[in-house]
Amino acid sequence: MFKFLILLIVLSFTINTIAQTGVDLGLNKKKDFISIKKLDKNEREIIKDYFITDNDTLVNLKNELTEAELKLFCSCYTNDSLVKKYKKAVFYYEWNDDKLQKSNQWNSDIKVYFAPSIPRNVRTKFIKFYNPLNTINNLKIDFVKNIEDSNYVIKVSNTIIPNLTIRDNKYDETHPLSKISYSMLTDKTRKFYAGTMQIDLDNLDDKSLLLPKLKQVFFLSLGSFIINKSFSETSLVSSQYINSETISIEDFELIKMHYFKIYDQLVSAFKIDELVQTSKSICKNE
Amino acid sequence: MNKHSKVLFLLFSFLFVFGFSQDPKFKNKKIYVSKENFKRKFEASDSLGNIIIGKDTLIEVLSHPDLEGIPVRYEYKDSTFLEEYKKVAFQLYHKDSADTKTMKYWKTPIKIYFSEGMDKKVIKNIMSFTKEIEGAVDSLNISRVKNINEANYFIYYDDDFQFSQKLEKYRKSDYSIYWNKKSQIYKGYMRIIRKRMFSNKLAQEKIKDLFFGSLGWFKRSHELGCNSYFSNCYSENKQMSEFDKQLLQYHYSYGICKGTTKLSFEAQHKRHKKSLKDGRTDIYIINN
Repeated sequence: MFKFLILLIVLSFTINTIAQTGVDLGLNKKKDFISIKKLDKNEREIIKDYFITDNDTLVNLKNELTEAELKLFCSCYTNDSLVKKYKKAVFYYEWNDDKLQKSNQWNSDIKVYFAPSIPRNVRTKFIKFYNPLNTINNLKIDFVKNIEDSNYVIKVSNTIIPNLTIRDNKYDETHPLSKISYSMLTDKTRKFYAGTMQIDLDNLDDKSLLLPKLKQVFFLSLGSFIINKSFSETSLVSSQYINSETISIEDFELIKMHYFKIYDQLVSAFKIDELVQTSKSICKNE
Repeated sequence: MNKHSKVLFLLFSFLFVFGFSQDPKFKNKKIYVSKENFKRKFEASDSLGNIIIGKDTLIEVLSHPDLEGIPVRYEYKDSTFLEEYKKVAFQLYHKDSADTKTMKYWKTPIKIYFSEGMDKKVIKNIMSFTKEIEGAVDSLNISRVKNINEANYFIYYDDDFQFSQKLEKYRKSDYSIYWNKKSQIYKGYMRIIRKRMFSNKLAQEKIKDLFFGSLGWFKRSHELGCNSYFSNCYSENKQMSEFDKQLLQYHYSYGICKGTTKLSFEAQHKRHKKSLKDGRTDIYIINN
């Protein structure tokens, strides 16, 4: 009887978290036509388009938030200080107030491969540092031993990566983007599906910078985030980042907000402002 | 004119290429073509007379060797499906153009040659994908050849021998296909940039995606989910969904006219659907 009760509680919790809310934020508009035979009773209630084939009916469902997604959305978008930081990290507001700037996300599992030239102790610390991010929905970071299984390579550069060339020369190799670079492959909706990070280890005078640089640039590459002075020194987005053992709460919240949903559309700064407005009307009871 | 002849004549007057067949269904039927088509395809001596329907003059002809084909019953699809099909099958001239370029398709078997730099596991994965496509579409025949001279489709890396000068200029992995005047594709090249597609996993996903696109010079849709091969976005879970199969099967169905532009495709469907609505069930399409 007790086991039965536990099962009932688990089931009701599961049903509750995947239940639809009737809230569509317009972040996912693409159609996925699937067989009507695969739908459960609840899903049959949210059919949007359909067409009939010779031996089946293919349907496209509405893209409503689940209860869990709505809860997460509300906790992020009604937090003014988080929203402010988020916009600074995702868009170039300091230099450009263009509301059409777009955000970037990974829409596939990240499979990181370290080239053998990256020291083992650095790899171990890096993996330990990033493992907690796997608790975030829609973001999965794996570390693979074979490059053929990877879509993200971290390696030592075989060409010189120049220092940042700043007029007054106030940035040296301690700047997060000095002697290191990353490049990403994106599709037409600004979704990342592969990346490469290279560090000029030979020319890095202070080798203790290797780990914080890798950690910081990897974090930036999770959303093409912008290095920012206004973030605290414990944040990986800060230009003054001080190496830390664990990821800060600030960064954790930032990445959770960024991956609360994988958008199948281009999402602009304007859209983020719109979501903030929407949250004010739909999150009153959340 | 009897009922069958009327339906046939409507088809012949409208479509670019139509003909007489040896199929018993078409024996003892009169064949009419529009004046424009007659001028393009026939000699004056081919005329057996003409009739006037409304404002159109139609000319009766006998069979013509170039126009022989197998008649296939017109394949009906509902408007939701046709709207999705049009979005992927027809490439625009430019974003504001009313009409499109013609749809393209493979008429001959596709014989793929993989360059020596291509990993065996990748080739195996690609060939298993092509088997899946063949299974879905009867008229597509895809095989691997090891002799370059037998191939009409070349897949290679940017650091292998370069089969296509055109692709050499591209910074990104891409394909290039060639077609004849009937919009039938007869040759294809695909070049993968190794530095970008640095793992087998990435390379095989890119090859499958590009290969699928090259089966009909498909325009990727921004409205379809990323798991669809017709979608413009990436997914590591791309697979031939039932919907992808339906669209591909339809593209290769002989129950629709091949090599048309979007406007003529729409006009044909409008007429055929009207004919069906009027109770006619014997609409046949002949593709050469």
